[in-house]
Amino acid sequence: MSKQAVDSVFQVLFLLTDIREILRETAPLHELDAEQKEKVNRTLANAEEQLRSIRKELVG
Amino acid sequence: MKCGPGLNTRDIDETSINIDPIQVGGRLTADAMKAVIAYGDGYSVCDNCRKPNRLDMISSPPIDQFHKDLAAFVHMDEARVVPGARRGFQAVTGTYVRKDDPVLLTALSHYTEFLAVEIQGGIPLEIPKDPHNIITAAAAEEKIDAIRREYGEPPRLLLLDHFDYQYGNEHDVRGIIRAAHRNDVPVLYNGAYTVGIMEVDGRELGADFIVGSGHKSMAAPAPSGVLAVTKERAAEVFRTTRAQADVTKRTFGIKEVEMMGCTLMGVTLIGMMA
Repeated sequence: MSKQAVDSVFQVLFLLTDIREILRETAPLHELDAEQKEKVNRTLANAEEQLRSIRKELVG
Repeated sequence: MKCGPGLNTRDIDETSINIDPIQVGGRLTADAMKAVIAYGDGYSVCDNCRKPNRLDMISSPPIDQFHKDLAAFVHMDEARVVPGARRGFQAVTGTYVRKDDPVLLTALSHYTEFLAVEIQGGIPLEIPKDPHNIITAAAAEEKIDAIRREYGEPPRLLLLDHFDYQYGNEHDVRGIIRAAHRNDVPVLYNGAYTVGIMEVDGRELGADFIVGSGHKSMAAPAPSGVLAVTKERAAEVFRTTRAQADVTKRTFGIKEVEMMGCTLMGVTLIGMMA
């Protein structure tokens, strides 16, 4: 069992949900202000880290 | 984009400004969407059900505390989650209304209140609205008097909407509740459009029962809602089963009859909590 992979999958889903929330807040044009852009950037970086973790755990 | 065979992804809130006030009241928070992801499986909450085996007594996740919080939220003594406000109406009519009982509604009542009366065989009777589409305490008093004259008894129950679904008008719930209580009529306050949107203080209003809608006004998945009651009414509405099977002699513990045992199991409840 890879608990790390499971945790990372949920982490990615939750992080993408945070981005979904920003899409909702900025609909329909999705023109993000500086703070929102920074948040998306930070969130994507975290998500990428979790994706790397999943790849390492499940694919090697 | 599809989220399953034949199922379009619903992305209206990501691509548009949703100006339907009712839909906005039911839109999930980010935390609620995360909870939906994690608790989507059918038995996700039941995993954690331990003796005495009742939904409102599960401590992990803290469903027991959530029920206490819900009661406190509307300033009532006890609360249960229900699958939509309509099931809250039904639990109350199921407790108090019998065949041919007169039951008071209003000319602006939601149709589900009529169905909740009908399923018990009660007779739905309306308080008329005034020319401004408002239900007044004077009209309520007058209708109760008329019912007393015709049926020889006051209505068994009044179901009263704070804001109606047709015009969105606010009605004099305090005055109407006082008028009902002067005539010994218990009152169900229908807060489908208020509980979760604005402060609702059941004690201050004097309501016997408060019903709210999770998916209309509490940023929760459908179908969800709350039924909160005073301690005087709790033992009646939340009465436990006395049934015993004739062949097997089985009994069913502390399951609540009007709740059909358990109500919101899984994602609806956890989404509501989140």
